[in-house]
Order: sequence, then C-alpha cells, then structure tokens
Amino acid sequence: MTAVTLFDVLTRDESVRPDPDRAERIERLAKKLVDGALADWQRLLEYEQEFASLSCATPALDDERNRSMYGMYENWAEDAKEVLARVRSCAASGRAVANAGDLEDAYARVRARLGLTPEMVSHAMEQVRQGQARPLKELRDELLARIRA
Amino acid sequence: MSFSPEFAPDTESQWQDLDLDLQELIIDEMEYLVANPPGIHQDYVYRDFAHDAGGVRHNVFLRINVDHRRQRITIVGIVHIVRPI
Repeated sequence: MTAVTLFDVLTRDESVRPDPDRAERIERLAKKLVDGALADWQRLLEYEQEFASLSCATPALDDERNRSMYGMYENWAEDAKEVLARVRSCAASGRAVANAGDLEDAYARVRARLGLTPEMVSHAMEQVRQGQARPLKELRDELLARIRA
Repeated sequence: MSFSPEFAPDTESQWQDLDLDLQELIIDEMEYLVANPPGIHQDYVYRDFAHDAGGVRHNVFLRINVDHRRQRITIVGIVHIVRPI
C-alpha cells in the first residue's frame, strides 16, 4: 500500500496555498513513501530467500511458485515507480528526499529481475532437464582465448 | 565432492551478448557459488550486481538453479539493463 494519492493532494494544496509547515510535512510523507517501498522490497527478498527458493515436488509446482514470486515483484515495481515519480518531482523542485537513491537502485534491480519471466525460466529448466547445459569451464576457456586474441 | 557449474543453452547466448568484463564477472559469480554452495533446501538463488563502465551503470541479474542431487549449479537466466549513473 502506498499513499501516493494523498501525497498528490497535499502537493496540489501546497501549490495553491504555499506554507512552510505543509511543505515540511509533504517532505516527511515523501520520505515515508520511500522507506515503506524499501521495507516492502526487503520483505520480498526475505520471502524469496526463506520460503520461495525451497525445492518443489514437481516442475509444475516450480512454475507456479515462480509465477507467484514474479507477480509480487511486478506489484512492488508498479508501486515503487509511482513513489519514484513523486520523489523525482520533489528533487526537481529542490527538495531531495532521503534514501531516494536506494529506492532507485532497488527499482533498477527489480526491473532487471522482471526481465526474466517465469516462462523464460521454465524453458531454460526444460533444457537443463534434457541434459543440454554446457560446462562453465568450456565457456571460460573460450572467453580467455577471446581476451588474449 | 564439489558442484559443477554450467550454463543452460538460452543463457549461453545471453552471456555471449554481454561485454567481456561483464562475462568475466558472471563467471566469477558462478565460481564463488561453487566455493560457497547454497543450503541443501535451496533449489535456486538469485544474484545481481552493478558494474559501472563507459559512463553508465550495468545491472546484471542472474537466476541460478541448484541441483543438490546431481551436484550441479546452472545459470538459467541472465538479464542486463543499463542506466545512467
């Protein structure tokens, strides 16, 4: 849950009726939005580490688990994107929000994660089950040869 | 007995598309995992890292499958995004 709509209302109100006290409250709210998004992200990482990476009994359950985690990260990214839009607008008006850089980093990491869909994982896992994987040593040797060339 | 690291075919082509320094960093990540394998109940792990080069930040994200029975660690996904520093 994020309070971006509340933030928007307060910001509009403050632009109509400038008030240092209100401006300071808006900055505090922005910081709470950032800290809340970071805390949600940490919770997702913990869920994944502690619960989701456990072995499932079948490939179908593996796929379901992957889709579940992916959906949670997707939802988080949507919320974080909204928070970041507000935070960037604060910074543009000279009111930088603490920890905004951390949220930018977390958002970039999650965006990268979302680039790998459950379908892509499932396809690669099927290749592995069929014994098509290639030893890292071969690729490392090829890489070293290219670097030396 | 130690884990054998390997690449799924899909990820091999993803890896080949990256700059050489990022390819090396991914190999390093895999070798670190071989030396420090995940717990027995974990069947996959995620690794991500940021690397600044050429005036931009590269975020690389890896999904790695861990097969404890066969003692294999396999990269099953690589994603690379670039953003301004």
